[in-house]
Amino acid sequence: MIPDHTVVKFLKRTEPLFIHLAVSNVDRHPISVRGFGVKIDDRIDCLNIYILKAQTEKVLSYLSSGNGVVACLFTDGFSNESYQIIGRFINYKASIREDLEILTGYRKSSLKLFPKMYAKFPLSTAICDVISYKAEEIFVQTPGPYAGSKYQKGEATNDS
Amino acid sequence: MIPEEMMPALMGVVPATLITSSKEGIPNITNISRVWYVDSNHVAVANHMLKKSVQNLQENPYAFIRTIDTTNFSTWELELEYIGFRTEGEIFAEMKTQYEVLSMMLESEMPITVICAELFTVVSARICEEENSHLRLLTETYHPLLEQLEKKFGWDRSAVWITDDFVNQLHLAIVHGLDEESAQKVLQRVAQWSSQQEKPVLINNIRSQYQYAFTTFLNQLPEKEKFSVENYRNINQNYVAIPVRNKDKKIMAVIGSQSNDELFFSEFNEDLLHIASRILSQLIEKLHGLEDDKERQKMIAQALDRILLEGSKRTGDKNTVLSPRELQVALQVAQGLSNEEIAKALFLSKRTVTTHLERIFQKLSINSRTALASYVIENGLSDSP
Repeated sequence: MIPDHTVVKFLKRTEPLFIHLAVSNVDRHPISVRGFGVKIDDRIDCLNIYILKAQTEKVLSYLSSGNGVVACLFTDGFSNESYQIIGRFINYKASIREDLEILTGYRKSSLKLFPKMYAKFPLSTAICDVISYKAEEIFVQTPGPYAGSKYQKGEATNDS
Repeated sequence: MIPEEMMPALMGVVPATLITSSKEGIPNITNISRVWYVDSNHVAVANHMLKKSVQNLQENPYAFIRTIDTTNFSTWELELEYIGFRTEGEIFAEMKTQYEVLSMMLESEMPITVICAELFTVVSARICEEENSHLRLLTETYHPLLEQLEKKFGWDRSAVWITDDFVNQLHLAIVHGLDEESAQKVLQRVAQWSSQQEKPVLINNIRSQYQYAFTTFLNQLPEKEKFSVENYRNINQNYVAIPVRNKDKKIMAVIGSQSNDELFFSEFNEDLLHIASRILSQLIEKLHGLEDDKERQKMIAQALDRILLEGSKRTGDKNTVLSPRELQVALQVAQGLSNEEIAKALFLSKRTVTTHLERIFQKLSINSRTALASYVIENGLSDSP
């Protein structure tokens, strides 16, 4: 399992968790979009990231013309503890009724820190798609001496 | 070129993100505390611990930055091309000063140092419209509607909730005159009920009964609580909720308003609320395709007039054989508007206006605009309904 217990716990429990998904195209031009929730299937190292439907087409066009690698940055809104998880794109799908709990939970937790900002996202399954990718590498991105280094299993970078 | 309106997003109020890509096309994304404005074509990033990003930039100069304007929470996107690093000059000196201030404030034994300024040419700068599109849709559609509802009916405390596709849950989208979250709670429950019942709701003179019921409930709690002044303030006498349906007739939003003044809702009965629900649903559908604010305002005003006209027609207030739409056209004719002007005002084609006029002339057995104007005046149709 690439995302170990520490990372899975971080992704599931951090509130608010800021998510940014990045891809790059055939010309090596990178872009990123905001993520609005993450669902982990840790049996197969699969991460499912919720993004706005309005941005799906652009992300997919970059993935299909580029090399199909997804990088996601996950940051604890309070402590700045951050991990970047990189891996290969699997597929995308429209979000369904079962996804609403994650979207609603994500919105509620984000409102804690930036109420005005996240109030503008009435997140619902109607406006979100899900990008799935296989987690292959994890990097520590927490500001400090280990920023950018490869994550060593079981090693939390911020215990505060 | 960095537009003037982007400047608030370059103040470092909240972190930004820098995205780079290796020559193999592996993206890398990192948080940065600030994007520094150099001049209208250049920005810089302070490098005090950028490792992979700089490594990527040295082999592939293309980069991307997302940064937020916290005055309106718009996200800005910058497409960049890396120039190189600077360890002197104005921008580097500015960065060094800021990091010295930070070190002082932190009282840290290990000072935070900036290694260099990483300099970029700005290829393009844009607001991320995709992130704001659904927001704009909501604000540009519902905000002017709430404003005109206030103007027309005095509804100064109102809100719009958007329904989710799959579950009967409402998300607050726009609120008007109800700043405190607690003040919105009861209205939201009314809106939720309207959505569940799939019909408009009108509640009059409820406060006293609510107070009685709530007091009964509080007295049943193990730790008995009293009906507080705040509880009293948060409950109004009158509530209205109007569902808005999409093309498939599914409820997509609920417009709600509350007031202690029953006059604000006095023109509405169940029948008229159903008319309002139908006309507002058609209105929202049309507003989605409209860019111009003035046109939007006009269209809303017409729709609100039409609600009252149709309501009057049903209750027989307006004694005329004309349909509500024909009556609207007749009123415009009486004001001296040409067919073209009427078409513009009512958002109809010129041909449709002509057809309406032909029917009006036929129904009333008249053959001139002057005669129609006389008919409107003589029958008191020009008075505000």
